Amino acid sequence: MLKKRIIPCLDIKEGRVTKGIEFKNNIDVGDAVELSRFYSENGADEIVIYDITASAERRPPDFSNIERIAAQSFIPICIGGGIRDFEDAARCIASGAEKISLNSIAPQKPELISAIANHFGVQAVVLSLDVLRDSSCPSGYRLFIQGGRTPTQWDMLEWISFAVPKGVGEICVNSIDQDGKRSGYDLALLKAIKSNVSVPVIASGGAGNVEHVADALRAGADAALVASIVHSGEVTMLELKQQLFKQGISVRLDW
Amino acid sequence: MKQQVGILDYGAGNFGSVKRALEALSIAPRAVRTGDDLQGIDHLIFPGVGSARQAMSELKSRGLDSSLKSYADSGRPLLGICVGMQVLGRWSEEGDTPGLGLLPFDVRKFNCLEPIPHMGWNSLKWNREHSLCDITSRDLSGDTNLYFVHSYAFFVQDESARRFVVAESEYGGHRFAAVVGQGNIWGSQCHIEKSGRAGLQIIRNFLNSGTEKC
Repeated sequence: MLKKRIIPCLDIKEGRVTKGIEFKNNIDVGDAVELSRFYSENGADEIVIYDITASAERRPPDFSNIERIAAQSFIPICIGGGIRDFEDAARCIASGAEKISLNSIAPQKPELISAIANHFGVQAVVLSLDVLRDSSCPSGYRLFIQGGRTPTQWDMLEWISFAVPKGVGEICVNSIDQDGKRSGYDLALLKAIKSNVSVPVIASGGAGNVEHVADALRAGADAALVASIVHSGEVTMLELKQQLFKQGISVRLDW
Repeated sequence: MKQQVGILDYGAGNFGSVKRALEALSIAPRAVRTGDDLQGIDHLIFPGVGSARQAMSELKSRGLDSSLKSYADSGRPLLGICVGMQVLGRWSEEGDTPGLGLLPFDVRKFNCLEPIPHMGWNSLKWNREHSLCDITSRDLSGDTNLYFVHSYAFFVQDESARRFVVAESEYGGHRFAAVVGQGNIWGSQCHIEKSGRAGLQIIRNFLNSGTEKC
């Protein structure tokens, strides 16, 4: 049986992992290479690495850092932040990433989705969305870019319907309202996306306890990104997955 | 004698990942780009990402298709991963592509309501009657999960297919081969280079397998 995935999310700034609240006020939580290896050996099903300042600083991701991470982490690696063109994506993959997460660049250059998907397959493209509640949008959510700093003209669902057919293999949805608040994922948002697309959906932003993760997976998410709850050490990947398993959620427990 | 492990380098996207996995097992693999490079190789890994048609045309343009066949005939162990496993068979529906014909199976597209590609960690069911099972599953826990990403598979529909199926998995109501093998020819639909400890263990088991004529 296909398992629901638990994916630690490492937000990287200058090679260190940080964690913010509502995308701001970042605190240091450790070395990216060490943390990736730790998670890959302790039950993570995948790792997502976001270079949170690359896009704003108009620079590519740190390819050598990806190589160092991939040399020690033998699970799928997804890279986001700073990918501006096909060459950047291809270099990430050559450096050891399996997946490329496109966020700010996607609404500006939607053809990049197709370029990566045509060459590496749709499974290599993760469409990452930062959305904020906005009652003036038909879906109730507006798409933001640049780490949640800049609003776009796109309604969240209209954007998804436009982008997914171009070659998106998965959607990762980050709720800006919930990010780092630890009050739970936005379940209405997850359900709205799940009922509109057939590709896997990854819940992101807001997990404060195991129950929140369970809620997201039960609401239909195929995977959940976790940051604060595991980085803080208050729950280990093993404890998290054992508790999900006890609630009847199918997760991988052998590693 | 020191082991010489080769990885077929024909432009497949996961060459680097397979190389890093071997390096983690303290093995310095050699890139095999031509038939001549196969000299002295005692275990060969054949990675693959992308489409069967693309993989076969890359092999042919480098003359590696016939090199692979003679390598296989020599009885030395060969392990195909993902698309590398799929083209070990006779034929793939993907681009109506003839394979290398090293194992008698065909590959077809998933026909199900679940999202395609089948992507993520899925459990394996080992075929205990298979002679390779003992080697392949050694040191793995009862409920082994491995990482898959694929839209095409070798579906296990009749009992005769089980002769090649070392382990199977299930998705969208269909049983398909997760690991195949016969004699010195091994194939893994899962990305064992990205399947954590369990995946590395299967690679280790392959490297510990002897050379035998099929």
